[in-house]
Amino acid sequence: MNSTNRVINRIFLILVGAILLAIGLAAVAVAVLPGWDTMWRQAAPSIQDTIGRARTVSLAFAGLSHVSWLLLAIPVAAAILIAALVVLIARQGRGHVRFVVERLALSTAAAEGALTVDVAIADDVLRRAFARSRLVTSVSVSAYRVKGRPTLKVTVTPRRGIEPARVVPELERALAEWDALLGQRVPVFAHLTSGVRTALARPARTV
Amino acid sequence: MSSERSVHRRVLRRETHSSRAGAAITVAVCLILLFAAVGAACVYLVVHPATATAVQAGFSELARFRSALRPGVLVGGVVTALLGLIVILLGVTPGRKARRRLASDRSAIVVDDKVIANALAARAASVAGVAPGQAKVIVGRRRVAVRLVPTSGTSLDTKAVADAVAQNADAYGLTRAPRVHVAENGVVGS
Repeated sequence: MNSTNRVINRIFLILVGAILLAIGLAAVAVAVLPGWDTMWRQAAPSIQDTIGRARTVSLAFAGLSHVSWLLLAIPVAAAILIAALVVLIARQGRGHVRFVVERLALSTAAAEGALTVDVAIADDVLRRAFARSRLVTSVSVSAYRVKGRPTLKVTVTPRRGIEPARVVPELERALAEWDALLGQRVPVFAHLTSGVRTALARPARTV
Repeated sequence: MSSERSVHRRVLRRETHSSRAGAAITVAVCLILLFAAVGAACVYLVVHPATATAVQAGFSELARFRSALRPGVLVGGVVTALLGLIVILLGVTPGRKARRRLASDRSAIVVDDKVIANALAARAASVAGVAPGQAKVIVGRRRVAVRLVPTSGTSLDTKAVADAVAQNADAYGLTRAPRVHVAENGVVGS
């Protein structure tokens, strides 16, 4: 329902996984294959040499006479990468909105203006519609922006053991009431849940 | 403006598949810790140049024990490669949630498998004539498994239970015949 960028999440996972896999396989190859071992032994001194040369290009500043630029470049690179990762984490979720209808232009003979319908109204109407229900224990409503449109999310908790298919007609009746009241249709997502947090849901559930 | 139908389609797809947010955040936090450690180590070496020389000497020393280090490199490599493989699989697999769609014209409806399992368990218990707690149902992707605990001294009609559960499960795309397992030891009837 939220606007998490799933493609970026997956690209990120594939990328990091590929790097880990490559490092792991290279380490295994060096440990097991004689060819890779000699290759590593021949390459090591030249790598060391390169690092050594980089180190000698030192900077003198703030009283530190011989500071290698490598030792400064690595923390800077690390900081940039950390910032990028923090952005990735911060971008998860989002897309939650407080309204069902946003600034609908209105013009009557008396006045002109705009109308915004808060999600709390939808929550109230749908809760009332289910108040008499014998099939449902609780209903809660929130809204998210999906493809640019405010979309209602109706979370319905059926009574334990109730056939979920029996809840559908009741839900459709409640939504018809809401549609009539609002005078226009907004997209609706309904989630029938057992009430327990299902975030860590596995493919098979026991009751 | 996108049509209601296309919004519903998108929501249905997103709500039945994992966003991989948890995996991405976990991996990102691990990388942040790693980069922070490397960065901090470099800063420490800048402030204490003597340590840098010692570290370099230590690495040269280490090279003399190549053969002794081999098992460690091997194990470390295998572990790293396996971790990488798991992370790649997280990125590639669909990550279906234990939920399924219900048909409706007005809205996009998704139901947790657990809700279906609750309903099927209630049905199984009533057909078997046992207390609700004596029937457990596991809803998998395509198949339903029923576990019944009989009341001591009575027999169960597993065929009737299987038929009743199959009839109700059919509506949720669970078309394979359910497996019914009856526990060997019953419980004292209530």
